[in-house]
Amino acid sequence: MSIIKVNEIQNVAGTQNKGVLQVVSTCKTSQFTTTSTSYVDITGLNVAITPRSTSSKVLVVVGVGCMGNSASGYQTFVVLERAISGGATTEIAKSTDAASIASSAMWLDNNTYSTGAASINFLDSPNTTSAITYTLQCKGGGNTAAINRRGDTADDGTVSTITVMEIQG
Amino acid sequence: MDIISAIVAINPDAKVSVNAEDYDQITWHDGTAVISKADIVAKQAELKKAYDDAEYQRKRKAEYPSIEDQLDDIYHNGISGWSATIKKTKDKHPKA
Repeated sequence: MSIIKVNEIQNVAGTQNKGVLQVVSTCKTSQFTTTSTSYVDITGLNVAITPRSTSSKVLVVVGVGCMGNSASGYQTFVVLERAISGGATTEIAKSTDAASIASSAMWLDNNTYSTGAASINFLDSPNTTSAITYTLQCKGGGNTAAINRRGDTADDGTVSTITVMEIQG
Repeated sequence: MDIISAIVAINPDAKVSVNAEDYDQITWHDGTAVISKADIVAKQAELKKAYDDAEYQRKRKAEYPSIEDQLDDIYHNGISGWSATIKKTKDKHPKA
C-alpha cells in the first residue's frame, strides 16, 4: 500500500480545489425537557471539531426532529452556540435585529400536541485551529419546553442531529 | 406521566431540565430546591391515577356533539331532547 501526502492540490488553472476536509456528527435519540426561560444546553446535542487551518470554514447543519411546549400559547426556542478551546460560548446563527432571540423557534397555537421542527444551516468562520464545540441550547417562553417529543406527553419521540463539516478555505 | 410534569406539580416555579426521562439526569437551575426521586416517583403515581380516573371524561368529551349541534338539538327538541342525547354518551362511558 502507498500513501500520498500533499499540502495542496490545484487544478490546471492553478486554483486551489476546495473541498470538505472532515465531517463530524452527533445524533441525539433521547428526549429533553426544561422549564428554564434562560438558555440551557440540550444534553448530548453537541459536536466538536478541530479545523486544520485558520482559513477553513465550518458548515454547521442542525436538524431538530420536533419541539413542543406543554401549554398552548407558549414557545420553544433553540440557539446555536460555539465555544473555542472550552472557553466562553458565543451565540451564533442569530440575526442582528434587536428582537432576535433564537436561531429557530416554534410558537404553540392552541393544541399542546402541536410541534415544530428546527433546521439550521450556518457557515461559520471560526478562524482557529483549536478545538471548537458547537452546542444547541433551548429555552421555553413559559411552562415546559420539549425537544424530540410533543409538549404534552413523552410518547412519540424523534431524533435530532448536529453535523459539522470543515470546508477548505 | 413524565418526570418534569411531576416536578412542576410539586413546585410550579421549578427551573429544571430533564434528559432522557432519567432520574439521574435532572439538572436544577437558578437555585431551585432539589426534589427527591422518591417524591417525584410518588407524584408521578398520583398524577397517573388522576389521569386514569378521568378517562371517562376524555371519552365523553370526544363523543359529545359540538356546541353548535347541541344548540340545534335544544332548538328542535327542547331541553329534554338535548338531555336525552347527552345521556346516551354519559351512559356509554359511566363515571368510574
